[in-house]
Formats: sequence, C-alpha cells, structure tokens
Amino acid sequence: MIKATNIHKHFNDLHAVKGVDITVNDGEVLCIIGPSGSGKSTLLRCLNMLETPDSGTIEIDGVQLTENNLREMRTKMAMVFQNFNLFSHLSVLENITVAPVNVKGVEKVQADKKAMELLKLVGLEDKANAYPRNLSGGQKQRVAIARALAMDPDILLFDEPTSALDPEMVGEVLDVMKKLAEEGMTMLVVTHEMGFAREVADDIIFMADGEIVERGTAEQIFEHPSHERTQSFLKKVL
Amino acid sequence: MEVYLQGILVAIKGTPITIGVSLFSVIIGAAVGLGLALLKKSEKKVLSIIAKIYIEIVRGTPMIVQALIMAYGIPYLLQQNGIMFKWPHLIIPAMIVCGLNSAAYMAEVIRGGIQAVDPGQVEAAQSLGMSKSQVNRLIVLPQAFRIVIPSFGNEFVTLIKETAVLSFVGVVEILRSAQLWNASTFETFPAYIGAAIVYLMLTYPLSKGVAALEKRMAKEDL
Repeated sequence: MIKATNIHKHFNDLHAVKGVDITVNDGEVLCIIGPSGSGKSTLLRCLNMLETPDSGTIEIDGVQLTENNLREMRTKMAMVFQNFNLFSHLSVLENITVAPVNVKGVEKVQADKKAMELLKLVGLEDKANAYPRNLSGGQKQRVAIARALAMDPDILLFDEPTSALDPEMVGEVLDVMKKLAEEGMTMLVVTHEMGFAREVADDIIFMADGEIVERGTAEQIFEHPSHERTQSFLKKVL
Repeated sequence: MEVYLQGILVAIKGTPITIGVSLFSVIIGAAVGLGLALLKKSEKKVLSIIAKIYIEIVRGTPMIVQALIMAYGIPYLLQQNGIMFKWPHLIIPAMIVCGLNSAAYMAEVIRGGIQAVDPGQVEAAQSLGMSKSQVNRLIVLPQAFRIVIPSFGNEFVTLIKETAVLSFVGVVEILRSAQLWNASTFETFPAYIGAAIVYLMLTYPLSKGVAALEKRMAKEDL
C-alpha cells in the first residue's frame, strides 16, 4: 500500500499540487484523469521524488520515505514514462537487467532468465538483443514495462504511458497493462485513455488545478459525476 | 624532383613519434579531461574551482611555453634543490604536456557530452533506485562517451598538428626530422614542404574518417 499525505508542490509561482492525499491499496488499479496542467503527472513524480515535494509525507507499507531510504523505496515503485526513456546504449535485455543486477545485486544469469520471462509476458521475446532505436514506440513502451516489472515492485507508476504513441500502437500497450491488472498488480496510472480507465480501474481520481476534485468507481465518475468540473471535463473528452 | 621525395621520406621517419605522442596525448587527455569534467560539475565548490583554474591556466598559456617548462624548467628546478632529475627521454614530458593540455579542451567537450544526454535517461535510472555514481557510470557516461567519440577523433587530428611545437624542445617528430635534414643538406624548401605533405597525408584521411563516423552515428540516432 502506498499512501501520500498533504503533498504540495510549487514551480516558482505555480502551485502545481495543492495538498493532495492519495492512497493506493494492494492489488488496486487507480487511474488519475484530468485536464492538462491539472498536476496529475507532477503528483505521480512527487511520489518517487523525481520532483521533490515542498511538503507532505509518502509511505509504503507504513514505512515513511526519507532522504536515506529513497533509493530502496524507489525500487518498490517502478515507473513507466510517457517518453519510454529506455537506455539508448543498452540492448533490450540489458535495459531490463541493468537495475536488478546493479541495484538489487541479482545474479546476471537469474536476471537474464527473469528478463526473458518478462519479455514473453509483453510479447517481445524475439527482441531481446535489439536496441531501442530499432523498436517502434509501442514496443519501446512494452520493454519499459518489462524493465519496471524486473524490479519486482510493489506498485507500478504509469505517467501517461500511451500519450507519445501513434494511435495504432496504443492498443498493444494497454493490452499489456490490462493483463497486469488482471494478475493483481498494484497500479497508479495517469492517463488520457478514458476507455482504459473505465474498463480496468478499480477507482478513478479526477484532478483539476492541483487538487483532487473527486474519487470514485468508474461508474460513479463516468455515469454520475458529482462535481460540475468533472462533468464538464468528461463532456469534452468523451 | 628526387630531392622532394627525399624530403617526404625524411619527414615520414618522424611519423611514428608524432602519431605515438598524439595517441598517448588523446588517451591522457580523455582520462584527465573526464576527471576535470566531473570535478567541474561537482557539488563541492572547491573541486569545481580547482578544475576551472586548471582549465584557465592551460588555455591561457601557449603549449610551447608549457612544454619548455615541463621538459627543461622542472628538471632545472629539481636540480637546483638538490634532486638529481633528468627525463629519461624527452618524449615523456612531451606526452605529458600534450596530454594535460588536451585534457583542458576535452573537459569542455566531455561536459558538453554529459549535458547532451537526455535528462529522461537520468530520471529512468533514478526511478530504478540507482545511486548517483551508478547513474553516471552505467547510464550517463557511456552515452556521453558515444556522443563525444567524433570529438576525440578531431582532437587526435589537432594534436598531430600541434605536436609540431615539440620540435622546439628536441623531440624528433615530423617537423624536427625535417629541420635536422635541412640543417645538414640546406634543402630548405623540400624539407619543409616534405613535412607539410606528410602532415596532410595523416590529417586528411583521419578527418574524413571522423566525418564519416559522425555521419554514421547521426544516422543511427546516437
């Protein structure tokens, strides 16, 4: 379980995240939707301190994240980025094994074996020796998901994982994410894919202007949004 | 015509020394330059200031002066203080000076290479729990290195030409070979034209090679 309390983040004069509380329970898929600039990506990046929050606390399974345990805590919440950020000088296999081997001290043979299993899971076992530059966007993102899974994280953080993809490649990435959700992976997904959120999310959070406007099940949010800002946002995107 | 050919052949005799000194200097320059680049971006102010001072001194003084200090000044100073010191071979101070000189320039190139690495690569590495030194060693430096390889090649070409100043400290490289031959034969024009042709024979294919490498890397998008 990951729990963040009263997260604030400023960028100069912009108050990007305004005292947000968020909890993701084990096995839960939580989607964050909302207009551009609503602070949803910033919130996600605050959770693993890629952005340092101005204030607030973050806990995983009751252990508070601090400067000293940051690295260890980060291994528990692997992140998938909008722009994939695969290591361009490493092969697909090395991309997946570099962190387990160097950060967690996993044996190379073990890490390779696990990486091959994960590549199979994302349907790319034939690309193990390819380099990122030879992959399509959808393939890159599936490798990025495999790389995140290789750390055996407690939770996966997705930062708009399909926003940089050509439309025809969105499906293959969402399919992998659905599969993970079915297997009980804990996921926090910032997304513009309303169809995915509706189908897969246990809970949906609607964010606007740095605040959580409302949280509810897909049905509550999409069919009976209680807040007027949610209603007007959904009217625009659906 | 024959005398020109002879001039070229004489200059060629200095080629191994010129190439050798240049190659060693590139290696020393890359290693020390990497150190300087890392010092310069260090969070400890003292370290970055040391690197800056070093770079300013090296860039602000002519290499020939540095070479004279290293080859003759330092042995003299040590001897004055009762330490019997003599370079076993003048090629050693020559390589040190060219290498340390090159390092000051390479530091900037390497720093540029490090900055050219996509910040997203660093974020991804951090998000996987890598420490700062792991991020540098496993992700940033290998990528920066690839970015600056063509610059290393260009620096090698530059050094081949710049090592000509070593003829003044008595290292028998291409130019010194030509000078010595001129002194004994008085074939002044063939001697120096010969040297020029040999330098060109080295630098032209090398620069073309570097340009081709750059082009290929741009195509590979790395």
